[in-house]
Amino acid sequence: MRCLEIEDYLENLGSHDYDQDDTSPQTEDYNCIAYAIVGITNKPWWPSDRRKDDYEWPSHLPREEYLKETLENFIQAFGTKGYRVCGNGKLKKGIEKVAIYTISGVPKHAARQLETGVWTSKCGDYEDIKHYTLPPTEGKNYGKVTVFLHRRRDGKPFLKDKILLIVKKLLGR
Amino acid sequence: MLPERIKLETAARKNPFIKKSEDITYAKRELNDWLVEHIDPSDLSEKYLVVLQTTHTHIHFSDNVSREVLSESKKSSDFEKLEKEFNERADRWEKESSIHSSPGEKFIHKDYLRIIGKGEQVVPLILKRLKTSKKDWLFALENIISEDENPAKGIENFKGAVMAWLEWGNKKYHSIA
Repeated sequence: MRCLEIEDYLENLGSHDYDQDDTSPQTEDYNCIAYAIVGITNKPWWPSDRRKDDYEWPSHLPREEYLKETLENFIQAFGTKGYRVCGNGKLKKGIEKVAIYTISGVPKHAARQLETGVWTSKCGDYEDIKHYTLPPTEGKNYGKVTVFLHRRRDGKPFLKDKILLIVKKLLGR
Repeated sequence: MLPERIKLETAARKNPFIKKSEDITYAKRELNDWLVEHIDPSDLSEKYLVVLQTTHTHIHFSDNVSREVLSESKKSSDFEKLEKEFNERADRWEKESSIHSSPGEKFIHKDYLRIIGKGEQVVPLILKRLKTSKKDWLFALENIISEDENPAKGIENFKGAVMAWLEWGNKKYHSIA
């Protein structure tokens, strides 16, 4: 099923296959970042420096001024849930990937890859959609995908992180 | 003898300028001339304020026979225009900004900025909408009302801030329709 309302704002979506079936209803209760990081939840994620109680953000990371949010801050936030930067959005067994969209380096949107390889996006306050590739959601509102992140689906850390953890323990940090 | 209020109401109803003129200054001058001709100023000697409502026009009289016509019909029509424009812009903003997760992107929408630009006159309209809408109208209020007067200063959650603004609005504007 298509959603013409969303197609109005994602100008490249209409000419591609996507699916709005079996999705969550329209809600302001969570946003694309929350949906990419933790799935359906009751709070949007954003480093908002205003009304901080309404926006989830790791407490050790900075809150930022509107429209001056930094990609690094978002990468760090995803990092708290085990995500690390990776090179591409290709499907890999046992690995969950996230794509972060930016305009002039400022994060605007995130999409998460499902086990099937299909991507899922919560479109602002609108419903989430499943899209087969990323370009249909790129455009004037979300910008372009500029970074991919990945983590293991079983929740275990990557080998590199395990080694780092051991080294830190040995060094007593 | 007719009570003063009825006499004035009758006189005002007969006045042709109230109904015809949309020009406040013109209506006021014509009404003054007409009143001098038709009403004895001694009838208005008591300290008295009468608000006569005739075809949406309010006329204020005081004991020194100063007469002021406030064209409520014009005011009302201006407010209706403002409300219509506000509702159109607000509906469009709520719909179009919903595609964004970034709060900043929502707030730089042209209609939202135009609403903020209209200043304090739109505050009652925003407060009215705030009663039913879950969208963030608080940012607009914060940018119209001075920081000193902001009743939600220091409140970091939406529900609490909405309650503080509505309470403030009820006091300031007596009631929000």
